Amino acid sequence: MYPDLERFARVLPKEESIRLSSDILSQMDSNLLRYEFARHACTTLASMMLILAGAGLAANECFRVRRTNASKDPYHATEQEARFAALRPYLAGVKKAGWLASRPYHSSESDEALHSLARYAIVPTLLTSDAKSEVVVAAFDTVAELEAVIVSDAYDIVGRGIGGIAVLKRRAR
Amino acid sequence: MMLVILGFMLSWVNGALVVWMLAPRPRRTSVIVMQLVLALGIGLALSSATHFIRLLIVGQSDARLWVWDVGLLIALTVTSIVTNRAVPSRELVEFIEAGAHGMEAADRRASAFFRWTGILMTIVACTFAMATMLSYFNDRPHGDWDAWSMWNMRSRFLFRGGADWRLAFEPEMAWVRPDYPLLRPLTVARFWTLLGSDSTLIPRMVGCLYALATAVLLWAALVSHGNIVMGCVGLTALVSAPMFARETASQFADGPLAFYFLAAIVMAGSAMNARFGMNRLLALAGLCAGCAAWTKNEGMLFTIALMGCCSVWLCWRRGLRAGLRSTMAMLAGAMPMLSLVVLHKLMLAWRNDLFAGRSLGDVLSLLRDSSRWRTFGQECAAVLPGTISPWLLVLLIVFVVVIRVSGRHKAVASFKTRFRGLFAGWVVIVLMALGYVFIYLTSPHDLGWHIRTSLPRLILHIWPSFLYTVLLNRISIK
Repeated sequence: MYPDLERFARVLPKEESIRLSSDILSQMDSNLLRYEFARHACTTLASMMLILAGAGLAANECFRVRRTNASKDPYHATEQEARFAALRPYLAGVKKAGWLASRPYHSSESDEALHSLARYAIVPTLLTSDAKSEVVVAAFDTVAELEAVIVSDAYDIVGRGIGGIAVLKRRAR
Repeated sequence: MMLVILGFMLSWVNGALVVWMLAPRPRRTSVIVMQLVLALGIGLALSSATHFIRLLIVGQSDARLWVWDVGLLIALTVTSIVTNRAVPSRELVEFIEAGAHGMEAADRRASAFFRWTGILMTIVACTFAMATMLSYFNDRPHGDWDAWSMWNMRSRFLFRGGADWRLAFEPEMAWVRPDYPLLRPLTVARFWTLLGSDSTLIPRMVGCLYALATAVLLWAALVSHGNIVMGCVGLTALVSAPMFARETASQFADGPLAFYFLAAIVMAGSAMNARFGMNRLLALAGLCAGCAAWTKNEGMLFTIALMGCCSVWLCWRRGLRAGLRSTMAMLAGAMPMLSLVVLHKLMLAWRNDLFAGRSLGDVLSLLRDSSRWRTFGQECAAVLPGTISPWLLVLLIVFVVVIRVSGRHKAVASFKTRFRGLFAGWVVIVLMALGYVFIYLTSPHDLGWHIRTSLPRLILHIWPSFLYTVLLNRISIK
């Protein structure tokens, strides 16, 4: 640990070696103590700064989320899921169902979200994007649009949800 | 609800048996906490594995799946009795605990006032982070986009689908990445099955559990390998990053992935400082890496990077023969989970949206495109401040510099040896970061959209491991 001391101990008489060793050790220890004190002061200060800043940042983020309502769901997943979940009884036994909506499912982010939420809600039926399936989930903006499609494309209503949402079955020709 | 609690406890006990078999016997509280948290993560992964095997064999899921967990419990108990270590890795325990003891002595010299202030402030930071997380959980009970369009939807197929659960992997589902491994969907589906309903409480609980486990594991690892102040610094830096609460509450698989990354790096670091019982710890590190691979595809990259780094390090330090033996131990630990990943890819879905139908020429031409590098830089610069506060990064750098400069005294340095094995941790983190940059630059999707929607999650993967490595790198062990 102290190679200089070991060297001294080898070449000097025993008493001399002990005296010198204790002198050097006491000097080194006082230096070391002073250094250790400074070191701990610096590291403690740095640790405290980081911990305090961390606590401040966590508090700031918490208040920011509350103030700006950042945690609110932009896609209203709970409401949309509940709307489509109401169709599940009408889809019992149907493995795959198509999709009919006012716009194609990939035309915008909100349409894509609507399709995904409908798919999530009606599991275990697999919702595809195919509009020509025998059974389709319809999600129109208005009831009038839904009625028009039912008449023009020859569908039977299996079950209706809220607004323009329904499960339709293609009429046998 | 009783069945859920029973299933949860069974998972935890199974994980504890595995940890008991492979890790040294703990004697300090922080090591006990570390091993308990590790046991929880491994137990949940093992339960998802038994659930998956049961689905493949029986064909559908029902509440009797806890019987399989009991079977696993019996098998693990028998194995742990058969492989009982006559001599626990006492030297390793003493080594790790001596280091902590030395640092505790240094702690005692620091004023108790500062130490308690640090602990108190850490509790305050954790409370605020938990409040933020609860706001997200409360306002988004179904999670964020990827949760309801991918992770929780897959869980619903596994729970509600009965014999038709494979519909979740039909070609129509190609755009929601059916090739992603199933640890999280199976964990949620397992608790739903035991509960008998698909309550939104379960995915929220799983997300919260992994977030807590990551925080506690980081704290316990830093305390047991370093000191309590370092544990507080690490924990505060983890929870004060804005993305931590947001991303762990989003109910994605990124929270569990971050946990398994950290667990594997902690165990690999412990193994490399062990004089005895190294191979068992490496097997545990391999198991954690395997769990990461069973959580998300990024886990495969991590497993390869960790095994490669550890192999090189071990062969270099211990010689080719011993190094290869240790590598085999690590591989043996990872093998059960890697087998599940292979089984999942072969039987259910193997096509990946990032690589399917692309030639090497396509990838190289994207890499050569300078506009993509520019977009990458601009998007990262836009996303990063909202992910990790720049102030936090600056203070972290200041902290590391102070610790580094203050450890330069010759007499102090002669007292200490470096915590070995962090080199591997650093290399793994750098390799992961490079892998992510490569994926972004060669992404077939719109690059800006891809970065904006996924960069915070990718940072979450490596943030706890980064903190562990960067803080422990500056701790010396007596």
